[in-house]
This record gives sequence, structure tokens and C-alpha cells, in this order.
Amino acid sequence: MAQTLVKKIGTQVWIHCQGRTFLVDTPSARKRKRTAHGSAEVDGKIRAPMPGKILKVLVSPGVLVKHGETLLVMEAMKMEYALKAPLDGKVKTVKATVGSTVVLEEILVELEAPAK
Amino acid sequence: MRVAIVNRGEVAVRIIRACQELGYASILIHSTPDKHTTAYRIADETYELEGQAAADTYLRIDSVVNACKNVRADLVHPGFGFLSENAAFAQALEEAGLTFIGPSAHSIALAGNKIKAKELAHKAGVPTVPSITNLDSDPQKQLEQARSIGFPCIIKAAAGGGGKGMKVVRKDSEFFEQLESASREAKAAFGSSTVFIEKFLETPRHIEVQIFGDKKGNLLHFFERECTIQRRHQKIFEETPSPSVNDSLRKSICEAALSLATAAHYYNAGTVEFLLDGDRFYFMELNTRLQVEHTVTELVCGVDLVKLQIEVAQGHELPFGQADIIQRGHALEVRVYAEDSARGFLPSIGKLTEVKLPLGPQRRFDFGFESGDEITPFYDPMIGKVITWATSRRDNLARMYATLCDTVVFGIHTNIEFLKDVLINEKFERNQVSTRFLDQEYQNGFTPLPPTPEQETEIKKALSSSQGPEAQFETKSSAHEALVRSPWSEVWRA
Repeated sequence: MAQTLVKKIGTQVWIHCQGRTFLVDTPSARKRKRTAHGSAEVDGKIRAPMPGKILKVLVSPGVLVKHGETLLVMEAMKMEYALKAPLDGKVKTVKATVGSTVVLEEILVELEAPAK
Repeated sequence: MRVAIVNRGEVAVRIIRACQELGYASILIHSTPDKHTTAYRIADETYELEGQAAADTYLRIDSVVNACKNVRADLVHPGFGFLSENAAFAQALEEAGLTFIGPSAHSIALAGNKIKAKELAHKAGVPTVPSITNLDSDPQKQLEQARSIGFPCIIKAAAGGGGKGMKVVRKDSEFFEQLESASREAKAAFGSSTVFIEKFLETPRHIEVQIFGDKKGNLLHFFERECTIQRRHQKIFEETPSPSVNDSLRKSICEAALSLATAAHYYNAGTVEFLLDGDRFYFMELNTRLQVEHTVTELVCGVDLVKLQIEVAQGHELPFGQADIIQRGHALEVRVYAEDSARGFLPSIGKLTEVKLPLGPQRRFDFGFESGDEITPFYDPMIGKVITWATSRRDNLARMYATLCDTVVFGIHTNIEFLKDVLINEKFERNQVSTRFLDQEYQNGFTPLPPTPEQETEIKKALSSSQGPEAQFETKSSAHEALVRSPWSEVWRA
């Protein structure tokens, strides 16, 4: 309880103190992330939230999708996860293919705001 | 005796240790990535099945049976999951002259198919939940069948277990999507896409009975376990004795379990699972294997179920009778998963850069990985189990909380903080729960508490001193504040 355990791996620091574990970005990494990394709501890019396999691709370029609509289904550790549209929009590109293995943060689908 | 273990992770470790106590040679049959696990390091001998995915390794009957023959095994322990409830595997081993540590291929086929198991329960006079087991091939008719049971209903894999291939359907419009998804998961996890539909009870509890038989026809039970705390049908908390069962209910549910086991001519370890709705219980399934949560029964009944499995498989008689088995104290198990609970419970994959499981009174850690090992995307996300025992449930919840506070996993995210959050939930403490408790309580996800000011200070200190590419150090912080301040002090006063 009284001991604080710290381990830095790359740009992240794991800390266990007072009965809890925390994962914190180093200050420099935090700054880089803020400038380089938009959220999907902003940039329309659907990224793999985990490494895994693509089971289903339910959309194709040019299709209009609604917020919450399932775009892809992927699998990791034997469980299925549906990736849903974070906004209403039009599918610009589909980079994921059924059966392929993707890495964390890989861009799978790009959406763009529908023409007004 | 030579025992082949066809499994991985913590259960492989558990079985290897049992073999070592018995003085038997343990031979681990493992996939390529599983060289970097505790089981690989502690097994007497190892044999590699080249490949990564379970379908190419642990689930391949032909190569597994070959491996068992090649290592000259006398006995084969399948652990749980994978081929543990596969009748064809048990049969293939028998034909190869090897002894399967588990029930007969006949019992597995009977019980492993959830549809046949329901018929068995009828015969044994054990109540079951209303269901459709003969799904039509025509989609429109399937929908009508589902409607005849009424929504909500649940689609389950006929060959399933462990929460995989299970989908709840709340309305017509969800039916086909969920049916397809359940079949697909069933196919991937169990090799068969056959599913059935069951009435979905809204607020049931999950109670199961540990049964055990020898090949001479003796059958015993080791009382019940309660596994009501589940997330998406996956058990997370398991305890015994059940706080929801009184002595008369305990007696009737254990007797029902034994009648079913008798009807199945059962031997070796098995578990009869029931749903408890008020004071009525319904048979759900018969699991023909060791359960993940066997540990709590071991602590409360003072028995080694894995050693007993190995003894009984060799034809030995059970060394005690029903009257010798008593429940003493309270045991609780929590499952530690490689997942990011705070980010939608997504799987977390990567290297375990640090694992610390500090010893303490009545704590048991069943883990399959150590510092430096890798959690891969190929298998189940469970990395280990924490089990505690105390004289009362109340004391034990506090003991588990303290134990989880001491447990350290770096490198991947785990559900430890989530487990602690459940532990201090008043409804859990008062046992006002159902199998849907977690899904309701966390329907908007799980948000960990922000760090306390003291923790903030520690984090800042750690950040400022973590210079260089791979810093690692320990410092002293201001003593036992976290424990004194923990929500427990509030809960216990209430």
C-alpha cells in the first residue's frame, strides 16, 4: 500500500500507488497527441480500437450512414465487436477487408460529412 | 504416470501443479505463442503444436491426439474450454488407448448438446426454462417460433458455454442480426453453428452445483456456487456459499443436480447450472468439465478437485462420502481480464511488463502469466483469478478489496479497477443483484474514480522522476491513507 511502483515504457508511465494503477502519458507525448490526433467525430476516421480480425464490412464507398449504424464487425479474443458510425455522413473510403488482421489505431473506414 | 495437458494459461498451471503433487509427469501440449507462459516454464515436458489460432492448435483433434500419443501420455487433461467438452475428442483418445480425464464420451455428447440436456432434465424430473430447440430452416418460421416464446428471448449455441455465441433479442427487428451473430460466434468458438432459443428471464440469479462421480457409480455433490455477477453472460464474480440460498433450497437444488447426474451416468467433475428466479430454480446446462470457478469450492469444502479428477479417471473410488463434505467459511473468486474497462471493455493486448501478486492471509492467485509474458489476441482474455477466503462473506469482501489493491499489472489494461468498483457497490454487498446487474449498473460504461489529491501528488512525483527511456523505481508514499479512506469504512459503518 505504502509503496509506489513506477515503470516507464516508451512514452507512457505506469504507476501503482495507494492501491491503484494509473497509466499516464509523459508530458511530451501528451503535447504531441493533442496536435496530431483528432477524434473520429472531428476527422471522420474510424480506427481499430484494438488489434484483431475483420469479420464483416457492412458499408461501401459512397453510402450514406447514420450515427450509430454498424459499419464493421471485428473480432479479438474470440469476442465480436461492432464498430459504429460516430456521426451522420457519407462513406469516403473503406480500407478494411474481410478476413484481414488489423493493428491498433489502423484506419478502417473514412467518413465525410454529407453534402449539404 | 504421464499426464498430457492440452490447455494454456492459469488452468494449465493448476493441472501441472496437481500432477507434481501426485508425483506424475506433466507434459504441456501448447501452441507456438504459449511458450511465453508460466505453464510452459513449469511443465516437466512440453510439446509444441505449431500455429497460433485455437482452431489450428488446441481445437485440432487429430494433431492433439497425435501429440498425446507422441509424448506417451497415459492420461489427458483437457482443462476447460477448447476440447474439454468435445465427445469426439474423448472418443478419439479412448480409441488411441489413452485415458481422458473427464466423463465418458457418451455423457459429454448427452450433456454438451444443450438441447439433449434439456430432454435429460425432463426425464430426471428437473424443471427447465421454456425453449425452442428445433429451429426451422425458414427464416420467417424462425421468427414466428421466437415470437411464440415471446421477447425478450435469448439465442444460445447448442454446443456452447462460457457466454460465447449468446445473444439476447428484445424485439422483432433485432432477431435476424442477433441470430446470425450468435451462429457465427458459435461456429468460431465451438465449431458448430447450431443454436436454440430460450425464454429470457429478466432478473434471475445463477446458481450451480459441483458434482463428482467415480467410475464405480458413486456420485457426490460439493454444494453450490453463486455466479450471478456476470458481464455479457461472462462470469466475473463467483462465490460459495451462495448468499441467496437457504438450507432447504440448498438441499433441493443439490438433490436435483444429483438426479440429473445419475440420469446421465456421470463420472468425474461436472457442474449443473441453474437459474434461480425467486425461490424457483430451472436447469440450464450440465457442464462436463472442471469449471473456472472450481477454486471457491476447493477452499470452502477443503478438497483438491483437480487431483480428485486425475485419481477418479484412473478408476479409483471416491475416498469419502457425502456426509464428509461440509462448507466452511466463504470463498470469493474474481476473474482478471486483459481488457480496458474504462474504454468499453475492449480487449487489451501486449506485454505484461510487471505482474505483482503479493501474498497475504487466505489469498490465492491462479495466474498463467508473469512479468515479461505477452497477452496475444488469439485466445480468451482471462489472465488469471484472484481467490480469497474468510469466515464470513462480509469479511471476505473486504479481504478481496485489499487483495486487489495490492495486485499490480503493468503493460496492458485490466479490469481490476472495475472489479473493485463492483466490490464496493452497495447492491452487491447486500446481494440485491441478478445476472443483469452489471449490464444495468454500467450501461453507460465504467468510469474510474479520478485520482485522489494524494494520488495526484504521487503521479506528479513519478512523472518528474521517470527520466530516461526505461525508468523503473519504487518510492515510499504517505502510508495507509488509501485503505483508511476507502469506501469500505463507509460501507461497514452502515
